[in-house]
Amino acid sequence: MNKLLVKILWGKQSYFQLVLTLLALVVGVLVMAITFNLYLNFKEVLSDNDAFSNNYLVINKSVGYLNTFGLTSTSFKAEEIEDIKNSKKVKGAVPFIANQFDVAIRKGAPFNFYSELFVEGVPRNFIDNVPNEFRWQEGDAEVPVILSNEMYNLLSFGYSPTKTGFPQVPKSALMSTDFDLELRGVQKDVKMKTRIVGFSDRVNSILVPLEFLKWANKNIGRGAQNDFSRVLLEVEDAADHQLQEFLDAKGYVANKDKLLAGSGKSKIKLFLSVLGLIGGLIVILTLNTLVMNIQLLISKAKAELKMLFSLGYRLNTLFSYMFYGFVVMQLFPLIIIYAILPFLNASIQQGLNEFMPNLQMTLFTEVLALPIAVLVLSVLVMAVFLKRFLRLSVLSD
Amino acid sequence: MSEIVLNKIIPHPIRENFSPISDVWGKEISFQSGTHYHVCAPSGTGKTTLSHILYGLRHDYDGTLLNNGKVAKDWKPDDWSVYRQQTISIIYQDLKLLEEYTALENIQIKNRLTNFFSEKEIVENAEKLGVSYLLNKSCKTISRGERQRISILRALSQPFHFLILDEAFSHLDEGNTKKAIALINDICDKNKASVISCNLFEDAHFNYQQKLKL
Repeated sequence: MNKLLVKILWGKQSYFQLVLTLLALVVGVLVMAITFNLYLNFKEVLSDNDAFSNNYLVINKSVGYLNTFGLTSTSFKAEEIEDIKNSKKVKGAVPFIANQFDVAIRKGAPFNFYSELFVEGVPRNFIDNVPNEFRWQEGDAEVPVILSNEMYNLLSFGYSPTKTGFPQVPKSALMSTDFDLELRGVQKDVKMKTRIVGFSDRVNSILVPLEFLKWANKNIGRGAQNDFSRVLLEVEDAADHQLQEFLDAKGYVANKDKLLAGSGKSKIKLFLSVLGLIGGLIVILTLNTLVMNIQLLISKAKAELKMLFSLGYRLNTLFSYMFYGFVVMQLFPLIIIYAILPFLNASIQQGLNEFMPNLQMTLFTEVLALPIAVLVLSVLVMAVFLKRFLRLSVLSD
Repeated sequence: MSEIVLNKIIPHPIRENFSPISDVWGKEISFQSGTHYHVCAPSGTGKTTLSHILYGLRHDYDGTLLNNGKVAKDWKPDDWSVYRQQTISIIYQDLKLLEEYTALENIQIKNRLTNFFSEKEIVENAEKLGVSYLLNKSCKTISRGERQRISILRALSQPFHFLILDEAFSHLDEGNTKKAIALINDICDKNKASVISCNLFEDAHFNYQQKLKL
């Protein structure tokens, strides 16, 4: 290394602006990284394919004393469902078909389990995570079931620990176990088998194939159903105000937590997008300032650069001596960023723990790679512009 | 052995008014390494222009310049860099030193390109010109004659086949001029190199084999 060359090219420079620019780069990258990390940590919560999905709602009518005494009904008539379907904010509406007969399941050791229960049916395309086995046709002895995750949790954490002998079972084990299914209706009693084939976040129920329910209601139970107690809605946005007003006006009750989660979710999404945009903008502006800084540095050293070139220094030699200087400078923001990032993450977690006590914020590898990616980009941008400015400056008359 | 050929070169600034009796402009001449040339050039005939064309600092001319058979106008910046490291050196009329740096740094910045001299040899050369005591002084603070000697020392700190002198001794007295000439002759002999000395007047500084008029 030619120390004299370093002295001539870098000795006269003032670094104040450069330091400020690099600090701005630190801020921009940190904002981007933290936003990205928040997004990755809340990705599951924010995605559309789970319990927090914003596109599906279950509604029913509110239960009052009049219902208790059988004076009014909480069920939906077919016309009412038609009415809901026609609402602007609703994309689709299907009633839950319920069992018109008694259902119980039974299982010997190690479960020693017997329970009366209910089953419901909705069209396949309204269920999330439908496995292929979730089909039934007349003659099949086994009825596949999709259990809601919420019920599974109740079973594992509410029911199992209190009932001696019923083990906590992982989903995979539960899915490979078959239960006896006892159907008792006004027409006859039937024994069948049943097995859990999947778990759903969207529909909080015990779902069986619609074909099975229609057959069983007709052949075992009281026949086809005319009014329905629950309706599943597919909507644009569950948090939509007009939709809520429509439901309120009709006296329908939706699962409110989903409405709240929905509106909170879109706010978080908006917040993260804005934050990410701001971070990106700072980085872009900083890169632009960095390019201007390079221009300034080159123009300050123009006389020396021309002299060195005329003495016989190659353009590439001059370029690398300036370029390495810039690369070394980029290491400082990189070190600062990696030093601050874990603390920032920890303090954000601490802040959020007030609302979400169980939250563990992971620093994702993608997030850790982001600062390097941005600085590599910045080095590439610098290389391109440095080369250009240097050439222009040295070869000009 | 190197060769520079000027084929009907006419610089753009003097396109209209160059002298028809010039031995250089518009003619075909060649400079061979090992031969010393004197170019006598009254004011305004393009003395510095010639130095700069030969050294590749300007390219605004008609005709062809051939360096060792290669057309100089086709050269990339890197070709000139290599040429200036190995084949040609120049003592500028306006010296072109980096004023904020010491005399030694000014010499070393050239010398480092090829590590032609050790620092000891640089000091020895400076002693021969009587400027060794200046080496660690900033070029800003030393006289013009002293700077001219530093500039000569810088030009000599590389291998070369041609040394262009553009009024190289203009600020030196007779005694110091003689010392400088002795050093240049010494190094040129070792390099089997040529001097191309451009001067306002005729002189007998070197053992010229060819004298040209601009």
